[in-house]
Amino acid sequence: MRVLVSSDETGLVKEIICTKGTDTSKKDGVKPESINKLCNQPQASLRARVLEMIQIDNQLVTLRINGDLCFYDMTKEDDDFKLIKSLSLCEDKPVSLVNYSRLGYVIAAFETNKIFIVDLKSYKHKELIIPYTKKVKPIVTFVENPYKDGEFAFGGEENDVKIIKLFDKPPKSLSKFTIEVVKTFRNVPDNHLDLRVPISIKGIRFLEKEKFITVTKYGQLRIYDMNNERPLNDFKIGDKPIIQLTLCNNNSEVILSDTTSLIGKYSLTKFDSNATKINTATSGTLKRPSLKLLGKYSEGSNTGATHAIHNFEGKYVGCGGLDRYLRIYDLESRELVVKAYIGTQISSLIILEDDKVVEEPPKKTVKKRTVESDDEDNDESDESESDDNDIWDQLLSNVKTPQKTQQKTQLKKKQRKI
Amino acid sequence: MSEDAKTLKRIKNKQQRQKVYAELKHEKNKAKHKLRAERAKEERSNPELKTERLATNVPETLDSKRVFDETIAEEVEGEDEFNEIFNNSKPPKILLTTNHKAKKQAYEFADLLMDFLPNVTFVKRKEQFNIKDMVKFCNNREYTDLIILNEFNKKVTGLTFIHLPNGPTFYFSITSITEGKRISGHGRATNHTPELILNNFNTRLGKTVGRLFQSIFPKNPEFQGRQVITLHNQRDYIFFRRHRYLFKSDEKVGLQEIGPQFTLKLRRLQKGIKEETEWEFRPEMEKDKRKFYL
Repeated sequence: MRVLVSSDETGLVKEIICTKGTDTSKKDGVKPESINKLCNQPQASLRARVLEMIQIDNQLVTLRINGDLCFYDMTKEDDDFKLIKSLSLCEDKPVSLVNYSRLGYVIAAFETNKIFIVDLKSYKHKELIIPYTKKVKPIVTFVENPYKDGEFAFGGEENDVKIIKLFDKPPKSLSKFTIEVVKTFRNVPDNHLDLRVPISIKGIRFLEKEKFITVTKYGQLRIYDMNNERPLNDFKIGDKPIIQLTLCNNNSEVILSDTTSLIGKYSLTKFDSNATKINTATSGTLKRPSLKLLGKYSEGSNTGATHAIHNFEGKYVGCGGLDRYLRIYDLESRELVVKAYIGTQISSLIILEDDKVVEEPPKKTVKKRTVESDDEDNDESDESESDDNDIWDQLLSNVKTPQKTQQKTQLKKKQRKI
Repeated sequence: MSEDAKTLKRIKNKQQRQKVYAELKHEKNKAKHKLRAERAKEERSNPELKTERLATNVPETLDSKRVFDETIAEEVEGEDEFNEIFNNSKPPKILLTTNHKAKKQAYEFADLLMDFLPNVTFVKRKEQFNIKDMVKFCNNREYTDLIILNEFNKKVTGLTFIHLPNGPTFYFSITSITEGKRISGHGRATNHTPELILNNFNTRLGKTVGRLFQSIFPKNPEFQGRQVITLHNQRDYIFFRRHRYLFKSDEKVGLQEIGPQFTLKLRRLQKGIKEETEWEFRPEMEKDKRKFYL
């Protein structure tokens, strides 16, 4: 397996080459083949750590916490990726990096509502600022709608989900990009005590063209439809903030991680109708549904929050976070496939390759010993043949005799029954 | 069954049996002591025998049977939040406070802490300010650490260390607090900056905890004070002790305990100001008695 992880304390990217069954926590366990430190340029440090990274063909694009967007060529020179271009976009805190390579762009979003569209050929960029009718609020997440070109969603602390459109037709140049808020979603209704539910969007993922989910700081998962202003469903997952989410199994399941060590797989179609019960003085007991927990990725004793979850072709789930371990699980069985100590905290993770399947040479079929095969051997002497025949005769007689005894016993039993 | 056991079993009278048992035990003990005395005599005449015996007879302990931890051998990579303090040799400035509505015991323990913490200011906790507010105030006043004492049911139960300006946050539980004056033959502390000894902070998590304590005490101790603070980690329990060393002769050194004594146990390490959990103690972690985290 070939995995890239961001290394927070050093600001580098680490390449881990390992095989299935790697476990550094065991003294005699399989160790990774190599752990290489990459992306040394430009001046890697804790203050310029990689927050997001994406792979576009043979290019690695990293968004650093100081607002630098770096492009690396993934063919190695002197055991490092070659820096092609580094753009200092903004000094604000970056939020997300969107792969829009199908149209030849990458899009970087910042906490201060700034969006940078960068051309992958010329490395020129255009800055757009999200317009607000009322007070400007910071954003925490910014994602694309993969089912509709030009449409994006974002949200944040006291900043409910909004849909924006950057273009109608695929633009040929950066100047054609504009920004327009298409839809603003409303908060869930007040709770049973008539108190306003606080808003804090932590992540958004699109399930379909007009359907998406959000997770919040208050441990909620909400399902939205574009035709409704409010969420269709509001589920409570837990009390801790949810910080990471990844879809799997044709968008019918979601893998979530919170600020503690939880990494759980939840169904988006199966609900536990009586998951939470709220006892109220006026309206009795209220039952709130929740998503069905399909299982936890808990093998390998994770102790810290998970910042990066990567779904590799619906086969494996790569996880990394504050406990400085890279863990790769089988997506379906949730078994631990790889556990490797990296030595630094992880913010972003990409599984590039699976184990190379080595084609085994066809096994030589061992001929079973049969009477026919014995006949075919002409080299054997007549004496040995006669000996063999004797043995076979003996064996046959041995086989026949117990049959007789069996028959007798059966008869005896029958007699007894009578 | 041994001969002695057989004889004991034969005696039906309980009191008689107990008497015989006590005699047998006494004899065994006597023989053991005799053997030891003889061995000591032999070893005194031939010290090589003692070194040989000690080399071969190493008792197995939980520490020696410790489960393999790959993080011990690995070097610490890159920078962390404590780097600023070490690089700029910024002197520590600590704010000490308690939980809401703390009782007498919390103030008494705060007094103990103020005896050895350098450049510390105690502020009585006010209800209207939460931890994030306090961190903001501390950052404005260039404090390097915020320590919050936790008292519950008139007992000091925990200590929260927040490294400023951006964390991390450590929460330790406290047990076995002994004041200096209760320690027999204790000495009196002076105002000299103590030396710091950190023992057995070996794992990656242990190194982070060690760096917290390093950042709290200044790097330039006043040696004329001959005061030493020891933080000894054994099986994830951190023992706090304070001593004064005395040069009895050119070869012999004596120790005088100053106190206080207390034991800390790391319960939680969080990134930032009480944000995401980096490490948290869970009861099932104690299932394997040979696995240690610090």
